[in-house]
Amino acid sequence: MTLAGHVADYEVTAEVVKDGTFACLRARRPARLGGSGEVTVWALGPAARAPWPMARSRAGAFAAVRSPGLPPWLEVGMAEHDERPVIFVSAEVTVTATLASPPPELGMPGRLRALAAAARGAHALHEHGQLHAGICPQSVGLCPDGTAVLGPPPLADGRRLLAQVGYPPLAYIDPQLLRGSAGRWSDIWALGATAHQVVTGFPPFQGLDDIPVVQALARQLASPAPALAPMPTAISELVSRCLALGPAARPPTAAEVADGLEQAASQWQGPGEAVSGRG
Amino acid sequence: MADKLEVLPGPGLVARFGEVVAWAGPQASQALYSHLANEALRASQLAAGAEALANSLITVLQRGDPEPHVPFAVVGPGSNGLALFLHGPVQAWDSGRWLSPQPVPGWMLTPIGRPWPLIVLAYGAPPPPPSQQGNPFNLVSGVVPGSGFVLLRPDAPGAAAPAGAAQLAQAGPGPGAAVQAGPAPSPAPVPQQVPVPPQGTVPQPAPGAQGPAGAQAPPGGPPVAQAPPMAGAPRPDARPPAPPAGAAAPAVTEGGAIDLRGAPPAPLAPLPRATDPTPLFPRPGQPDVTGTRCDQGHFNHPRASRCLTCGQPIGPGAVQVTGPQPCLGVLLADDGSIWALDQGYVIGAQPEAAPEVQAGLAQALTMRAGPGNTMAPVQAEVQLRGWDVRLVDRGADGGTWAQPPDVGSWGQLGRFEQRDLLSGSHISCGGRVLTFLSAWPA
Repeated sequence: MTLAGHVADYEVTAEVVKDGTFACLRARRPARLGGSGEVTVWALGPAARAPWPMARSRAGAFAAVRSPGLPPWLEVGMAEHDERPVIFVSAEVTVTATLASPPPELGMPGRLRALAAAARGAHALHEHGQLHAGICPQSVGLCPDGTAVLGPPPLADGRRLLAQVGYPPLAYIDPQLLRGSAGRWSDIWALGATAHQVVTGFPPFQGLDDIPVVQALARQLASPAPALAPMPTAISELVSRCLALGPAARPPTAAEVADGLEQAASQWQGPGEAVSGRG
Repeated sequence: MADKLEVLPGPGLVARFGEVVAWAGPQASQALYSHLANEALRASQLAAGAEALANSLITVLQRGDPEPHVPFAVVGPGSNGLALFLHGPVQAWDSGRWLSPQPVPGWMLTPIGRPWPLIVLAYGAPPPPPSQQGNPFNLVSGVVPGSGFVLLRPDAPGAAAPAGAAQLAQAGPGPGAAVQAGPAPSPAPVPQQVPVPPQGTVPQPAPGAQGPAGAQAPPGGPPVAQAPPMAGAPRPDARPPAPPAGAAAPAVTEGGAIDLRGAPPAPLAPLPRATDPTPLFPRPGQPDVTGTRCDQGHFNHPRASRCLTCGQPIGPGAVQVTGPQPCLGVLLADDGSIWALDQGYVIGAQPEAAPEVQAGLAQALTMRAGPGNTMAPVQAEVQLRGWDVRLVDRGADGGTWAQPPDVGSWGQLGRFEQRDLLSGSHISCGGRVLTFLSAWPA
């Protein structure tokens, strides 16, 4: 879908995904940056929700980490988008879809490999002391060349400002993070929740979008481990481990999650495969 | 003859040495006060000293802004007339327009010719009245308290403040360097439509007017709240004082950007692995509370029947032990922000000035007033007492309100009253609403 408009001096050419507080957009590369072609701009907002110094600091720390699965970041700034102030982050990559709405031609193995790429990006961040805290289907960008990247971190850092309603959706926030225990296990939980969505079509905690935020948050805070939907055996054990209540029961690193996702992709046999779930 | 310098009364610091003048707001650390005063003295010995001082400050800021929320300014000789450096929520009238740094990068340096008067004060502060003829106050040299300053023509008896600005020189800043705060942002999406109580009256329940969270609307209560301001940046909704009649229109530029392509690596250790699930951001010095431990050794609320960390059952006869107070839950603000209750919060328009925050005993939760309401610098406090969460009124106008779960009406706390909160309680002050949700069993 094409979209007229700008984010700062980025001329928006297409809207990849958008909801109330998160937008992934393609835009023309501003001439002042040199070169030409399209880049990707993520707009997070409203910007007034989080201190600008926090967003600036987070973006700067992320940009210093270069790894497969992470886009080459261009800029972070503040601008108006859709008549509201947003923090925008641009990257030298062309994202045409996300795992929130993957193209039909991208089969399950391709989707799992895309999530594996994001997991590798998350692992690189962890090894550099950074928590993403925003992994969800819409944060995994799919590129035309078959690669995938992990989008920008949310404005909240999982510290005192634990999260912000919207990006990521509550269903992808580790209950342990909400209880004040954030760590790389929080991103690993979010990878498991995203894998659950990719494979089954819905997140592990269902119905949170249908109830008031207060109730949804209370439910998340009180949640034991979620009851998982039946899934092919190639992926069910990995998802189950990622979504374990106790951080120590989860895979120790996002790199291990990436390995598991790639293995599941290579072993994927299609819808007829045996399924298992955790009731 | 040196320019006349009138110090505006109030908190803050004004330093003048020679023609170099520095100002910092009351939020500044002692280290910043000292640095500015000492460097202003040193810069006064240099040609283009103010510009040199500004450039040295920028060098520091580019490595990481240590006090991004603090307004400060330097003015004095530069290589092209007067140099004006502004940082944070500060504004300056250069006899042509109001200047203020953009949120990105948070500071600005611009030549301003030789304007009189030049006014420097905190962002959003009202402009001072015109200087009175014969006013003898003039800071010639030294360091004094002050909430800002006015630089006047040396022999300017009765030199006009902004009211006469249209007749004065209109030197402009560098292209694109200046920005005036834009219009108020659109209200953020409101995740919980909990009506807020009106100030000054005890709201009565309105039958049938039930919000999604179960709170009933008092009649006439404003239905929504707004997002808090961005700390460390000029408040986008707080316009600076109106420019004087006839002044040039302010320059408005779209938000700037920081180039991330050369971002230096942050020297941070890898995050710990989940085999040792200690919190990533533990706060040292948490007070001890009494609780129980599961078989894995995880510390829990004494009434927990299941470990919140690993899910293992905890028997009713588990031995009570002491341990560091864990995070008690969250505060969900009406703008969707979710705050960890691992420490108490002081809530208000400028809570960082509260003694508890200054002493590190509480966190500042800055909130702007909702429509038609006012928010005092310190309006209310949320305290952690053992396993309990307590709301404290801080005696400001407008008061503090609470609505327990499953109760359809707001009740106002008395001045300085303290009230324990149950999980699901809504609290309101200044037209804003927060909801306390416990992570632990009732």
